[in-house]
Amino acid sequence: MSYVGKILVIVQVVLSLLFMTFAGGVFAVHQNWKNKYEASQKTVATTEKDLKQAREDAVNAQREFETKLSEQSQNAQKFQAEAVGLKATVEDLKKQNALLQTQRATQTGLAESKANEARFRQEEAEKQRIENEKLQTRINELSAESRELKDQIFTKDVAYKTLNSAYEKGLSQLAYLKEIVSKHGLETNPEVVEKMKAPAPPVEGLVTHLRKNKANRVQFVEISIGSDDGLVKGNELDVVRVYDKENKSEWLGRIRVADLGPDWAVGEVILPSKNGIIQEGDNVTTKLGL
Amino acid sequence: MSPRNSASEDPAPDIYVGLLFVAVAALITGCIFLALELNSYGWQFN
Repeated sequence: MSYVGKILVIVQVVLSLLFMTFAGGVFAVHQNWKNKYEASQKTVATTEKDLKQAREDAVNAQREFETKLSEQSQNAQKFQAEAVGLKATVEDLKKQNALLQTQRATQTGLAESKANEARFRQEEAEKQRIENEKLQTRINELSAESRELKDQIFTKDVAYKTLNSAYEKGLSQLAYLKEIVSKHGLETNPEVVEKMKAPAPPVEGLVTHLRKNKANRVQFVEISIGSDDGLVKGNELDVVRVYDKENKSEWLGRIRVADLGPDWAVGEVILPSKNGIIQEGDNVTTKLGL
Repeated sequence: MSPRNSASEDPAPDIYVGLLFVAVAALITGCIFLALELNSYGWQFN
């Protein structure tokens, strides 16, 4: 073998060894870009899917946000309107507050005056309490006196009942006696009896009616005056006849009042005249005083 | 260069022949490495 052939063999061996070394290095050190590509594709697909989902979520969120934004805008407008109303209300409340403060000041003054008055009332109440205690003591004393007086009243009441029964008994006896007295034609009225004791009043009247007895003599005479003129039973009157032309009068008798009314009286003839007969129209009078 | 009679004159293998075998083995090994590399890509070149 020639010298050049030997050199070429050696070069071929060296190059073959270099080729083997590079190929082994490539196989040993290289990275599998395909697997990485596929993994990257999967990652990209997943990421795109996530991105799509995220976009959909973003769209939904945007729609929801727009919806909420519109609602919030409406709420904002509503709240603005309410704010305007509340401002007006606040103004009114401020006015009311000022008014109430004024009233509070007034009420505070009134309360102070009332407090002073209450203090005065309390002092007065203390005084009244002391007076009340005194009065209570007085009431106790008066109650004791009242009990004593009640006892006395009870005693007096018993005595009164006893006296009343005696009075009732006396009244019944008096009525019985009055009945007996009346049956005998006597006056039972004390006032009348008292008047009967007094002299007859100076009165004049006329004979209005006559009643005669069986002997045709005048027994009873009705006259035109009565109790209104002051007559009472038992009064005695004179019957006279006046002659105007001759200016003379004639005594006809005396009567005693047996019964009478307000403007009339009946008299019994107790002393007739022997010269004249009583007739209707004759005068009766107490002024003669015979 | 004159033709040789290989049947009568068959030279004895020397060190260079051995080196050629080593070179062949190295080439085959490198080709296997490259084939395995292509296999990992599925024998696709694009």
